[in-house]
Order: sequence, then C-alpha cells, then structure tokens
Amino acid sequence: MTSSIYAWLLFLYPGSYRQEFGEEMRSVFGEARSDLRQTLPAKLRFYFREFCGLLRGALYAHFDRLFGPVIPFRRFHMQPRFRFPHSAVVLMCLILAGVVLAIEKAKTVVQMNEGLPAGTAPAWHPLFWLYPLAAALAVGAVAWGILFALKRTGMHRLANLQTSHEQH
Amino acid sequence: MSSGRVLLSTGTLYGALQRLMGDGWIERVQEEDAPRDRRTYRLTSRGRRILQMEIERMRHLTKVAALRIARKEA
Repeated sequence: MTSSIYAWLLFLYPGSYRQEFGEEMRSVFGEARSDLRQTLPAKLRFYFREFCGLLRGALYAHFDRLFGPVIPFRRFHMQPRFRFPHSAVVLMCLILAGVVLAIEKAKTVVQMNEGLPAGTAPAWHPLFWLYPLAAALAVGAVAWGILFALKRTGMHRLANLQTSHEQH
Repeated sequence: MSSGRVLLSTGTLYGALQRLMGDGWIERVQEEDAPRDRRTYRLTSRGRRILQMEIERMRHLTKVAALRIARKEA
C-alpha cells in the first residue's frame, strides 16, 4: 500500500529525474521501511520524514531543472576554500553594466563637444550631474559587496585566528 | 555510519546524490552481478580531492575551536 503511494508521489519529480533515480528510490524506501521499528511513533516519524523529503526534493529538482543549481542543498552543499555567494555575482554584473553605461555616456558627451567653434563653452550633457552620483553609488555597492561576501564566508574572522600549533 | 544520529529521507538522499553527480564529485559504478534497482556510487578523483580539502578545513576549524575554549579556560 505505502509502496504504491510512494510510487505515486514520485510523479511529483521531473520525468528525467524519475527515470534516473525512481526505481532506486523505491527500492531504498522499501528497504528502509522493512528496517523500521514496528511502533506507531517510529512509523509516523518515518512516513512524515519521507513525505517531507519527497516534497522538498521534488521542489528542488524542479528548481534545478528550470534555473540551474541555485538553491544550496543545505549541509550537503559543501563549498571548500571560499564560499562565493550568488548575490555577489549578481551585484558584480550590475556594477559592470553600470560602468559600461557610464563609459558609453561619456563617449556621447565627448562627441557632442567635438567640432565646436573656438571659444564656445562646451555643451554638457543635461544629466551630467548624475555621473558623480552613479560613481559614488558604484563604489558603495562594491564596498557593500565585499563586506557581504566576507560576512558570508566568515573568512575575515578566521584569518585573524591562529591555531595553537601555528603559534608555537 | 552516524550511529543513527542522521536520518535521511530518500528524497533528501537522492537530491544530494544528484547534486554530487552533477558536480562530478561522485560517479555511478555499474556492477555486473548487482540487481537493476541497486546502484553503487564512488568518489571521483575530483571528489576525493575536494573531500580531502573539506577534511582539512574541518580540522582547522576544530583546532580553532579548541584554541578558543583553551583560552577561555586559561
């Protein structure tokens, strides 16, 4: 009975995932169920855990299929050395786009001022005052990004520590 | 392995296996005499290298934690 419910719940997963792991998952589920203690609380805990695990796993599998591996898989998502948050990548792309836009605008201003008669005051772009503001925002965003990445990694704290072995 | 401290559902387990395979840290091994619904997984050389780094990282963390406790007790 529970095996057929489990098989039915596997349809929550994407087809490719089910094809790759479905049979194996059913087999492992059957084995875990046979090892289960025959008390009601143990059974309830087991089925609740399996049900929640399946729902979460199916959700992650669909997200992975649609957007790529963007959701860290909790404790199993080991990231040795340096943890680089995805938000930092997005932030860096935004900053790069801002810099490219500023360069293009600057080129436009230079072209507007070329070929003017001598003694004519240069015609500034009407929104030229925005550039210092954009530059200040970009610098602030970079600083925030660095601090955010350091906070996420905890590397700034670990870097100040020495083990007893290193101290001697 | 964890003496019953870590209990994984099959959904969580296979989610982790899929991620590890996607990252190239583990691979499937096809054993000829194994039943069709029973697969074996093993670490790839990349996975072994990363595991070694992770062990080193955890070893460093435990050293730091031990040092901090020793400082507090001193």
